[in-house]
Amino acid sequence: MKVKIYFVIALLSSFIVASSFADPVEDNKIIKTYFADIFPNIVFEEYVNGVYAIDENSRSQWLDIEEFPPYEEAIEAGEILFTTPFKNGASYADCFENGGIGIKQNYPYFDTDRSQVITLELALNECRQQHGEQPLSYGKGDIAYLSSYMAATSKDKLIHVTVPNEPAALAAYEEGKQFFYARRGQLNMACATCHVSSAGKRLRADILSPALGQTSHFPAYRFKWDDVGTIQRRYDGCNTQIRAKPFKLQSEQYRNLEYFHTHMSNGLPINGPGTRK
Amino acid sequence: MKVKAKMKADKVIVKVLAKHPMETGLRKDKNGGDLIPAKYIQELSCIHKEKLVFLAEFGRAVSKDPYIAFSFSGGQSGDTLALKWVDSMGDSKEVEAVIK
Amino acid sequence: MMLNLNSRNFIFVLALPVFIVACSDNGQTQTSANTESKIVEQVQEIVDIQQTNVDDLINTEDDVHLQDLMHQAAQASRHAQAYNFVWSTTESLIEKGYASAKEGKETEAKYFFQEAKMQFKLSIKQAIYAKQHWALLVPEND
Repeated sequence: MKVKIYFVIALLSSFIVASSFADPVEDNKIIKTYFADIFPNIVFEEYVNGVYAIDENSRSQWLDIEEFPPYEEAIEAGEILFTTPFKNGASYADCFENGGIGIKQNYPYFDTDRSQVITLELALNECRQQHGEQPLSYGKGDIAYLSSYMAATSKDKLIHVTVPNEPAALAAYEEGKQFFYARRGQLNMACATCHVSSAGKRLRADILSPALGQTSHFPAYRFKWDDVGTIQRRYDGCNTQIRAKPFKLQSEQYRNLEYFHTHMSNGLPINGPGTRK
Repeated sequence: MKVKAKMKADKVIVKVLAKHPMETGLRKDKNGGDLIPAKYIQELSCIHKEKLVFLAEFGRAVSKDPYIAFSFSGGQSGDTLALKWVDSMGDSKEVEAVIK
Repeated sequence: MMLNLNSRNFIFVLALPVFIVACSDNGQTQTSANTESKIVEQVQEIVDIQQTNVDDLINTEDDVHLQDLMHQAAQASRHAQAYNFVWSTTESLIEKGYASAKEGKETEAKYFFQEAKMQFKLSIKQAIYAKQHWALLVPEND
């Protein structure tokens, strides 16, 4: 009988040990509470609108712009690219579940067989290569138009990135998390410096958006790019801005970062492509 | 040029997006050498029932793909509007829109 | 019944989970074996760097050979790339150094290579700091 008590307590203590390792679900709870404290008036679903949820003036300008959405052409181009068959007769629909329609909310995912994070853009190029086509270059152009189209078909679906409870997936998530919070570049800033610690504050003329909800509207049309671009295109730009040498698009570092970053927005609706500065 | 026109009480609200490079003529090309020639909208007008209801005169400082919103009274649902822009090189574009 | 714990046993049982938690990792999961061994290999050099005053990184003697500086900068570049915290400002300094050397501007070339060396080494310090202290920016449960 004494043994039974000790056994139960030993079991409980093992739970305490396990919970001190990477816990993506707990991370999300903490970050949600953190931002709710800074922005008490923002409803959870509104985080997908970033700065437009925080600043009234920006929001009204954005609503005016949305009368003639700048990303419309990108979605149309993406649809044509997506539905045009490859030279061998197959098409993108053959590579994705549900024919590639309404699935963007599940990306990135962790491929346990290959032990790596798969982003939507990587999956699109792997599909091309499987069917004898040349891969597209990442960040902008056709890959961004395809991704924009797939985002549009996934509108309002809730982001659902899974981190399987196995070491390699948890490690990839944790590496993405470390990247996000580590200071780098000559300016010695982390992603979190602007988008967690200083969210809502101004950086010169711009207001910093919170990290929560940041990935939902990508690919994004940015006026700076005068075009749509993927989230990793923005990672490249942000790293350059803090004077860190950017990593290759779809490198392990950026894929792990996107994995962590997107997981943070679990439960928020896809609203891409979005319009930003 | 994309146009949306609709009634709001007794006013017509018109929103226009003119697709145009709005090149100032002061930028240099990628090789850092020559000036890119100026090409920017100088005049944007709206005619309703043969009457000029809106005229905008732009300078070179208006940026690419200008968005204009204006309102006027005396219109009704179903009426046609004729919008036109003319640029510094003499090119022009006309579009018709129906008031919703 | 079974709840016949005397106070000594009870304290031991309470202490057990606390002891286990205290000995456990603070949340950092295993990085791949490759990265870890690379870092272990270069630990000795890093110990040297950490104990060096930054001023000592820049040679101020006039009789330092430009060629030596070029090699040192290239070596610093190789080390820094492995840590993945290289700055975007540094590689162009190397290019400027070679350009100045070509034009015969030795002092200027030396300056560029010294500056590049320092930036590469600072990025390594930054990488080590990040590995140890990245969690400082993570919001905590209040």
